[in-house]
Amino acid sequence: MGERAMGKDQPTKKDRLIELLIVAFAVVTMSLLIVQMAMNVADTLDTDAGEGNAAYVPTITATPRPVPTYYNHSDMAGDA
Amino acid sequence: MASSGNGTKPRPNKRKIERILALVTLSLIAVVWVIGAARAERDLMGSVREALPAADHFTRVENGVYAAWAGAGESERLGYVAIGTANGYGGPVELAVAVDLEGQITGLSVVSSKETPAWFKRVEDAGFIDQLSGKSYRAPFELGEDVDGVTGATYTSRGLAEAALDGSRLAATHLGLEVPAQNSPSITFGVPEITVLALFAVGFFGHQRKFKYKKQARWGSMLVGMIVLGFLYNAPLTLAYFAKLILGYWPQWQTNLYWYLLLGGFVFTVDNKNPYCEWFCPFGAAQECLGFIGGAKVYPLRRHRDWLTWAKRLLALAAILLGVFYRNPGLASFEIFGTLFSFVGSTLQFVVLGLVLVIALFVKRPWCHYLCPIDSVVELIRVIRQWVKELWEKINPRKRTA
Repeated sequence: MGERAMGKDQPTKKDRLIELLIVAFAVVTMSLLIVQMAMNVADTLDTDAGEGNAAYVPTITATPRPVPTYYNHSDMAGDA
Repeated sequence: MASSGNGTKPRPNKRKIERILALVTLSLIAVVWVIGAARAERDLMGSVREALPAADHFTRVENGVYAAWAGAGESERLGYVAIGTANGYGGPVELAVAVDLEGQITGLSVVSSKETPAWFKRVEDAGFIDQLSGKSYRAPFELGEDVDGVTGATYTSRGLAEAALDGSRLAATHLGLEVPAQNSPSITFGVPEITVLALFAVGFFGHQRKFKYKKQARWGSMLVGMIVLGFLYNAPLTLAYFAKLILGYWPQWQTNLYWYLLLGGFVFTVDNKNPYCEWFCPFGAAQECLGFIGGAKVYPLRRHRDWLTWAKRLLALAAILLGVFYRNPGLASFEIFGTLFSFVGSTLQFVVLGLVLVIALFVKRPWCHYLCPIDSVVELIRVIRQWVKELWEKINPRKRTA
């Protein structure tokens, strides 16, 4: 009984393959999200540099942001 | 969702490590907060000087208010420069507003804005900022009344005017001048507020063991959450909101009651079981709907579970630290909620969204399990809450049952 139960806990080849696929998905997606964050930082640094050069004529080159909805301030959502 | 968030009590050793790491996380955020604040202050001084170039030096009176002096000492005060803030079209607009001893604006300089560059330039080219110079702190600063707005850039114009008003009145307060009282805004209580309250109630009663119609209630609340909080109002909880609160950007409760209800229900769940993620997170519901169509299953990870969980937590921490360091909550947000619910985002975000939605057909809630930063916040809150609870029970031992 015990051996059978232990055998049941052992991952099959299919389980291992599914786990690897999930890990691949997570790694790829996390890498893309890291790139997205790096792009956000680059945009911010561009904006900061622009504001430092001129007080009234900011040379901001960040991507235009979408219209903020009433409940989702664009600075808060940030995911757009 | 996370390894230790499944209701099982962690072992004492593991619990100790969790608490040490929670403390390290909070300390790290605090240290980066201080460094980021110092950096922001340095950047700010350029704008302060531009607003009042006649001053020889400035002394900081309080956060965002500087006294301007002529000469080397502090014998001849020229006035104050205060940082005024208001909401523009794309986010907060910050102006350094120089005010003389009578409370009249003598100069302005843009500290930061999240406005679309083309519109901001249009406002600047129209001489909008110049017309604010010379106005008194007593003026209403209202478009169409004492300020001429720029056609096609009304929100930006209004944001700048309100920021100038805010800065001038802040400076006037320090000059000892009588500042007209501002009317507090009326309380916004509509469909989103009612919905979020109802969903928390359903989530709270629904997960009780005795409740018979758990499955139906959960699907009902998920669908309502997805449609109302997702597609209609695009108001899911994002990491940027926590970054915003850490940075001290607390929005007015009257006009942001929805967020406070959501946050309150999220942090202060009475029975330590937060219903948001499982019961009505709009993005979680969208994934689960796809999973229903595709017959998705839960695949418990064996060898790779721990490091993936830690990678997810590190990603969330990195995002928070970036947002806090650059004083920009938007940086902390890498979620793809807005990409789905408003169909707005970068190419990269659409790629991630596509990947997540396809995988969601076969694997139950892939975003929630392997990527969502909110899940890491839930874990941190759970660890701290449990710790506080135990400390409280130690202090008040009579409350413990025999």
